[in-house]
Amino acid sequence: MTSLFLTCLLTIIPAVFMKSPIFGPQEVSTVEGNSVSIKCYYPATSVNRHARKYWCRQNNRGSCNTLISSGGFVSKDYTDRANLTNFPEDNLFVVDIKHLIQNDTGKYKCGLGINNRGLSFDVSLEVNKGPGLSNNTQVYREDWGSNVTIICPFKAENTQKKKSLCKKTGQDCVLVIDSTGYVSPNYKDRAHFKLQGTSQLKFSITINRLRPEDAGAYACKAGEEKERDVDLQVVKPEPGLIYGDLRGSVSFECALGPEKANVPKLLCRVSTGEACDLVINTQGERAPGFEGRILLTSTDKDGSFSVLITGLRKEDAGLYLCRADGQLVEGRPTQAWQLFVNEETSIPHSPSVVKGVPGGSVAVLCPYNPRESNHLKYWCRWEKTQKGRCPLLVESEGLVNPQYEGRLALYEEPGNGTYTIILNQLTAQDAGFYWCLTNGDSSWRSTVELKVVEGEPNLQVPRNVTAWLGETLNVPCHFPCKFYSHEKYWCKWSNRSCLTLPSQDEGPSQAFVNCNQNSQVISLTLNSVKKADEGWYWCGVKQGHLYGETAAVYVTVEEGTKGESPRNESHDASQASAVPNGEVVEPNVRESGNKVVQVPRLVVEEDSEDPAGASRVNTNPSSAEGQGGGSPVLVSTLVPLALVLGLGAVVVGVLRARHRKNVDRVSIRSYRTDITMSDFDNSRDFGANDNMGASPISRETSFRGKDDFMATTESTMESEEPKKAKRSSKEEADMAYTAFLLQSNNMAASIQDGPREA
Amino acid sequence: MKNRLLFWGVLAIFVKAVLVTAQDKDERTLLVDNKCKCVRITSRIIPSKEDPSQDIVERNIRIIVPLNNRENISDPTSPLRTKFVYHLSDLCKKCDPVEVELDNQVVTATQSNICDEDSETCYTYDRNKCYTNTVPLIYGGKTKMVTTALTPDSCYRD
Repeated sequence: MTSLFLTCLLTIIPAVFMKSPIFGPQEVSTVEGNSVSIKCYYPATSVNRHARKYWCRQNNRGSCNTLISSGGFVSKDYTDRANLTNFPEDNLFVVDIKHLIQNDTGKYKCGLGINNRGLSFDVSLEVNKGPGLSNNTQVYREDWGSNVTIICPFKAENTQKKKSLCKKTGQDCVLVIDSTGYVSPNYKDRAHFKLQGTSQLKFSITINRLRPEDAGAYACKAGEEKERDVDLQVVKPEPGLIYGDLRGSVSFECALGPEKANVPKLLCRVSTGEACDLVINTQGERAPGFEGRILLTSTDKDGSFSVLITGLRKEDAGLYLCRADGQLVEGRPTQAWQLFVNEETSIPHSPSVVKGVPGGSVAVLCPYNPRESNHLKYWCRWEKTQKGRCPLLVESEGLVNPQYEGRLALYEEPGNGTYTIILNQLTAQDAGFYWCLTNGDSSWRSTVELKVVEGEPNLQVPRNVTAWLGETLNVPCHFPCKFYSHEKYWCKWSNRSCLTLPSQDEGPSQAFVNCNQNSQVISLTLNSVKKADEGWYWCGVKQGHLYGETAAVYVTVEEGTKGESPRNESHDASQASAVPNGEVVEPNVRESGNKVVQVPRLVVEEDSEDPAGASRVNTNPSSAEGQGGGSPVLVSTLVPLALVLGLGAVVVGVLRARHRKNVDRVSIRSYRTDITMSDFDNSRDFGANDNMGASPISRETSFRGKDDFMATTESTMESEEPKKAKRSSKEEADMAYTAFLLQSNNMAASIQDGPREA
Repeated sequence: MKNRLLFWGVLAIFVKAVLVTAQDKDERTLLVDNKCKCVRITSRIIPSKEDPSQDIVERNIRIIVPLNNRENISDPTSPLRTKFVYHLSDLCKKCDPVEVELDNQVVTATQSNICDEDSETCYTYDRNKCYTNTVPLIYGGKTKMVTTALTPDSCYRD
């Protein structure tokens, strides 16, 4: 019984608190006999695509009665006139209802899952009487901002009377306009009275630039007599629905028509109280909140344009209007959209600001829809020019902008929803906004702000290196301590990507002041340099699939004589003192051996290059010594320490043994002649504990033991129990002995006395 | 008796929730949205009742207690759960990794420690996770263990 009640409670619980991620049209207004098509958006997750979709009508008791659902249910009222279609790729579903009647006016919900669980959107449907005459009421229906002509007939006998039109407000009818020329201030310059000629028994009133406030019931009067009722409906344009994801992007397509092709237009966002804040206009002005994340692109000659906004925030949600610049707010806005920002999004957080130092590099992670791993990926730089442009810098096919040669690369790693962009040799001009795009799902565009701050680049590498044709080139790259556990690599930059090359670890680097042991020098060695080796080379760090810093060096290949070879070595930061003569011999040896295959020229040479190896060893003498010196020092300190400790332990052990031998154990035992449990107890009180960690519980047991033994102790002992707590066992033994002596004296005395008495 | 108390407790929580939402549509800050235990905590700043010129922070806690769920939500044969424990300190832990900037380097870290999601027992289903159970089916005389979906909508593989 209670469980049933409780389950009922659960089902009735209304939606509370947070905004539901479902989005639909707030108000739908139509005319009898027409049909409506209601779109309901939901977050693009697998659960939502497959969940039950419903359209229900709210009733007075607070619950919602299902009218049609994706499970196939159609209520009796909706048979043959409604259907529900799900569009999972666009993450929305559509409810089409035909043959509407005025009774269909009411509050509805479109949603997912189970009714009343909160995953829904409230829709208010209004079905009005159609235009035409019925019951002496003429219905007019016009758009906001357009004109309406109300024709009022009158009876012949009222020809001479004043004709007027009044608007019904509550019980009264407020005069709008009449034949004497009076016009109500609300309708000033908008309403015009016109008699249709003396023969016709009609007059007409034209109201221009209709506003929503003009809608309502009117009455045509001749004299005081009401001739006809008028129902004026002003149709507000229904805004288009745009469903955006938090941190995602949306685009507004503004097409105001060819007549406004040359007029400056703008997009604005309606804030509280009729005011519309500028977002962007065709003349290039932007709101500051949209810096770096908005683009305006003119599409056609007819003046239509589209506005692209990325990095959506919660505050961006609201009503957006597109109209010609200079138009009054009261004028009909030509295009309106309601933007909804879904917070339950799967677009990951990506850092919105990346900082780099001049001369250093940044690695930017760009998210993309993981289901679109095959699509092309791009990186572009947002420019502040007029309407904002984002010219492509690099794409997954290769570099696009030649100004970034040697500086920019796009890696498809780490993959699974993220790709990496590396930009190095930063200068202050590189600061700004950059966008990550793909040619697929446009809602995953993201934007990143690059800031160039003060500092020094971490990796140190010579800026320009000249190599000599046919010789060996050795370029070191110094990595500081913090990259000790990172993977280090060298690669050759090309338009398409940076291909990793084998490199050699040359031990700790001398280039850093604070850290010596954990820094490293990784060198790139090119054997018998060819002309094709000219170009940009990068050294960098990475951890798994995450790329970190890089540094670039440009290698020029020149033809020159061997005499100039020492200049090569001087570029080495590791102050080589290589012998030029040694270098002369080398290349010939290598050339002959390695002409066969291209790639192995750049092979790590540890074995074959003994002279060079020796020279390299010479160049790092201190470091080698440092390394070798490390271990003997350690050994020389540890061994004597161990010996000393061992000796000490032996000595102590010997002393203790001797002490034990001399200790007179027997005498202690002899003291303890009549020991009772009470003795043990008292010694503990003193603190003469063998086991200091003994818990008090053990004392309890001994206490009990004491009780047990209480009965068996001698009477003399009993009376002295309380005092005993203060005395040592030796004293007790003395006491016992003295007691014994006294007793024996008494006994002897009594024996002596005995016979006397007798 | 316990159920009755529980029922009144749940009702009380909801009455408070409904009253609060009926007041006005202030912008609330979401503090906790725990889908596993179905707890949502939001806060907003409102003028104090005693002194309207001062602002105070009002925190709203919404707990939906799934009284008809099993102790092990992945096993429909386990007994009905009768004990629901909610520790505010555990619920308010911020375990989502956040990017923090240290020396111009971006590091991801969690704001709370002891963040072990696996050890949390769930009282109700998370919509975005798939819950399955194995059921013995007798077919053609043989008993086969078949995996069934307890939440079919969440178990599609697209």
